[in-house]
Amino acid sequence: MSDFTLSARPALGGFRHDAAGVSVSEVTGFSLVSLAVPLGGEGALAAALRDGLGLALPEAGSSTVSRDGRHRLLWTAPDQTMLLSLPGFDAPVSETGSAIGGAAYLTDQSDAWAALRLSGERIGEVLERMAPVDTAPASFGPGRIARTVIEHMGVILVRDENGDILMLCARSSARSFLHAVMTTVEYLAAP
Amino acid sequence: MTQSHRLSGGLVNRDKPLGFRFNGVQFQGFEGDTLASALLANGQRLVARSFKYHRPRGILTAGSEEPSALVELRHGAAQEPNTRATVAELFDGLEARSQNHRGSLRHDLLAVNDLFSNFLTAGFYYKTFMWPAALWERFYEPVIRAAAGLGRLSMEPDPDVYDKGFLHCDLLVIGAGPTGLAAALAAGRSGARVILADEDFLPGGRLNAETHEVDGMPGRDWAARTVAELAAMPNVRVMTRTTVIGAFDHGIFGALERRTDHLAESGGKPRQILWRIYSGRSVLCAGSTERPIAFGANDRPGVMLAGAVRAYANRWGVAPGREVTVFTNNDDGWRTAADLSALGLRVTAIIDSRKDAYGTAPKGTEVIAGGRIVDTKGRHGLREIILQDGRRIATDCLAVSGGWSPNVHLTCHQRGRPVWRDDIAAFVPGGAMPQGMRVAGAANGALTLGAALRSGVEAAQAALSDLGLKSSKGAAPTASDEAAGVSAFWHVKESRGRAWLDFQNDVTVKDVKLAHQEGFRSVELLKRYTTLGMATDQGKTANVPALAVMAECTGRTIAETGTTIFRPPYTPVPIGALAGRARGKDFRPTRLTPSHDWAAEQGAVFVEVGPWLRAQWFPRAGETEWRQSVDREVLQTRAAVGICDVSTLGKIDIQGRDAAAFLDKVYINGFSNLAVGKVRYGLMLREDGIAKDDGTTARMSDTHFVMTTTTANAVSIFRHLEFCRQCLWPGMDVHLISSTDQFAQFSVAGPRARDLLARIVDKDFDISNEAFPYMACAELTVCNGVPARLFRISFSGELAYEVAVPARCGDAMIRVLMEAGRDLGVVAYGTEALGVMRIEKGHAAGNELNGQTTARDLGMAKMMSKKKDFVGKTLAGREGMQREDGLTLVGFRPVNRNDTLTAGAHFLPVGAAATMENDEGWMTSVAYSPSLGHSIGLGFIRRGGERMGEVVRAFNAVRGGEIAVEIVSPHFIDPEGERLRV
Repeated sequence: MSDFTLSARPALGGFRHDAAGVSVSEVTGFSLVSLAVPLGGEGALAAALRDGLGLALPEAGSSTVSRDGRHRLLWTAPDQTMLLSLPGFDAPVSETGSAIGGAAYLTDQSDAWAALRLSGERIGEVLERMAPVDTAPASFGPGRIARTVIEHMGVILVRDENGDILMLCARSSARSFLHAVMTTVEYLAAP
Repeated sequence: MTQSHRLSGGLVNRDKPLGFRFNGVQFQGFEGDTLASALLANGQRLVARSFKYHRPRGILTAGSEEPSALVELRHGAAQEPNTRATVAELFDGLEARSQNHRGSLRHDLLAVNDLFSNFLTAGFYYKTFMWPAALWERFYEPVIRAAAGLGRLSMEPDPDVYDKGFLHCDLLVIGAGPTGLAAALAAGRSGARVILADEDFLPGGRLNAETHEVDGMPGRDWAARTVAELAAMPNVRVMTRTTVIGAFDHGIFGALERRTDHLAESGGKPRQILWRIYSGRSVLCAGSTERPIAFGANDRPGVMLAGAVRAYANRWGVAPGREVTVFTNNDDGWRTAADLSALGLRVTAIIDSRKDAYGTAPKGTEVIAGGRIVDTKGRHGLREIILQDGRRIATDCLAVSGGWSPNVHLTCHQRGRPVWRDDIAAFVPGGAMPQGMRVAGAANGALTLGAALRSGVEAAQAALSDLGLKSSKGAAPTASDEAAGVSAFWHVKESRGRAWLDFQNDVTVKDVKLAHQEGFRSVELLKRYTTLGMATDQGKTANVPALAVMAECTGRTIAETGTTIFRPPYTPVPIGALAGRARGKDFRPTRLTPSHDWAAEQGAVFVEVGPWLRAQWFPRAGETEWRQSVDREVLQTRAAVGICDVSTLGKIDIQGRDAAAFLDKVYINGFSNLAVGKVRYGLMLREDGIAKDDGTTARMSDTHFVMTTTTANAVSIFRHLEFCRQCLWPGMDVHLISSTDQFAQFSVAGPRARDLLARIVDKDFDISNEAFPYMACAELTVCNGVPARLFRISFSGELAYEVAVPARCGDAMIRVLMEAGRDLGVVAYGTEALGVMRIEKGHAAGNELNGQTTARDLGMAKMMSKKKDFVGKTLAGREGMQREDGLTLVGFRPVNRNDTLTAGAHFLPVGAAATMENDEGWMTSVAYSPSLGHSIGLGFIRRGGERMGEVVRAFNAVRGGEIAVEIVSPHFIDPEGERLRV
């Protein structure tokens, strides 16, 4: 065997910041796999997801959660979803593959994205200074997802069942993205 | 100084006195004052000098339409010119200075311009400074700009920060006067998501300036109560100090919120926020603007709009004068006399241009029906007015009302054209409104309070109905309708001297007449010739009176004359607010490679490649010049092994039953016959047959390929492929996703590359030349089980691999590679050495794929498959692209090996003149080759393949000089490719 080992490093070093009314923290250890629906294979994929992972195929702009709560399937584009899984799903492509058979084309995206969790009662104020999409709880409730642009960077926003917002951004520009988020937090008016 | 002109009452907080300075003099005002009201409270009428004639100017209005009272606010880097004193909210410690004068405000040396006013008419500059033309930019313009200017910039970077944001609502209500409050209340009570925006810091609009009643209580109390009710609704957002500046497509509005302009310090928070508001519907409740009447010397400090005089008295408890006179063409002017008189001020006379003057004057006030003012006196402030019959009346404040113009501006932002209404002598909104917009209240010509309130409620209800929402049952506010008769009286024809129309740009009745006389009769030409309405106030007070004068000149009606178009922004917006956070290095995001931190630790010099920062070279101790580092990196790579982070190259994951067939169609060469576990170089063309991008594509399985693109084109190639997939061949089962950021990918190049990799790759994988030959690829594990991909490809021309690991391991990977290769002589190399090695090897890059060159030019004509169709094939077959004398990519070396080649040089035959006709091609890439010890170049030259050994001249007209060069093979190093395959 090789004499060397490679240690993993989170994109943002496990960043965490708690301010009055808003917390920003990096989510680490998750896995993310894109599922492309084979042409004409939507029914088969829906069945495979249901049987293999206990997941329904999400509607556009939304996500579904598996029965065991370990997986969230995000709608990300027509004929494309992404399976976001909690830590422990270490070989996500092969594990997803065995769960759903060949029902989708899989690509590992776990390292392509960095993730930040935004929580607290002032997250609406943070989001309205960054994202052009409407993220008011009434129109962007739990399970909703949006692909949008923040400071020129493509992002995926997900509202979870706690009302928190998960923000996925490209790993290579994650530091710029974090800077944008923290600038916004800093710019909020005194509570 | 004491507040000599402060009355009792008003909406100022007398418990909070605020100190401020104007032109260095200390004054006092109260919380709730504007700079204008505080100056007037202290009897300061002269506050500015005019744009062109440097005439003394005072305060004309009490709102954002102010043309005259412009000041420089704050100091140092925070100095802001052209601030309207009427909207500058007073704070403790405010500092303001008057602008546009030489010497003091009272004794402006440039006031001499006024004496030459006969010459300084419209078109003066155009006519006068024509000759000699060369002097215009160098002399005339700077001098004129210095004399005729407004405020000064600090010339320092703006110390404040700005932000932007996005808001969403069912209904946007623009303006929080009576109409807007009524509309917002109706919508808010129904549960709709409402945004109510108002430019003032105190909502209520004219209700705060008048003595009207709403629902049986003073209007201002009703406004305060309504605002409180709205603010308590979770579905309503009340935004004060927020000006809606523009109406854009699809119900989108721009709004500027002034967050800290009313504070001495912004405390690091954004000074202003530029909001983009997405609305389902909107109601424009922007109110109306009072117009002046043009008469002789109507621009003196002390001549004010009647509604403004009333506002200062009622809202701010300030007496703009001791002896007030009123000059009006309508009923509204009379209210100024009544209100002032009720506050105990002396109103000397009401001069009504109408013969059948209406109304009841306060006791002791003379009514002069059919009266007209022809001139005024008072050098630094009004002392006296002179009527048409020669009668003189002493006064220090003349309240003028020429009627009210609905604020139609935002209705014109999508090309709506206002229509004239004779009954109110004003333009009202007309034509196509911005999407989803209704107009209510005074902005729509409902100039009386009762009508305004009703129209606000109706507009809100109609908007709710559009949105499928139910109106609330709450009672609508009510008020009586005041007298509002008006006559179309615009200027006093008997005026002595000049009569101002546009106070800010110093445009007079005479200028409009001159424009007419010289043939500029269209309103748009009138505007440009006279500069009417082209100042920072966009002629809010000036446009209608000027149009009326033009209509008189031409004998047409105002309706026939029409009006100029209004454009965003409604009021001036600082450039800083438009820029928001996009300043300096925050202008755009930066992408960092997985080895960035390590490279930074090594002291790497970084270069921007699109949004990426890449290590350009790694200087070592003792290296004083970049070439030393680059030469070392190249030589050591070619002698031992070099590592380069190539993660920035675009990586596109392509999967599907038709993935191979798809690649056949997008590349000129075939991929369906590529074996699993192999990599192939591919070239793409544009539809027009020109080379688009190149790279390698690896086949991971029957249905799975990994394509690499150049760093620069990663996004555009992805987009191109999506277009092909979705639009050209939607029936193909092929799917794309970027995996650029997923992998940390390193080139490991050089004769010791395999030795190094052998220490990294887990033992169960055989990387021997036999098991893993040139152009092989595989998925494997490295460093004890980390999943990785290995490609045996080479850009440098050496035995080389690219190894990819998950990005999270990238930082560890570069450290491991450098550690593991230490005894092998490993070196990290940057993009410069990468470039040198690819030029030595004769590989095309961006300089060669520059959007002008074909596969044939690049020497890849044979790669174009004849057996299949591909994007660009048809047009690549055009006759003009098959010319025998076409360009060919070849190498060049200087005949005198000490010469340094330059990119961009053009090739000329020996002895030929440097003309376009003799041009044979150009040099695309050059480098100093440390391997060869001299400068080398790649370039395109006609029939290059047949001309090996020929000497031509590389002529560089831009950088100067020419060099004799010899045409050689582009493959300077290892032309047979033996090193790749060992």
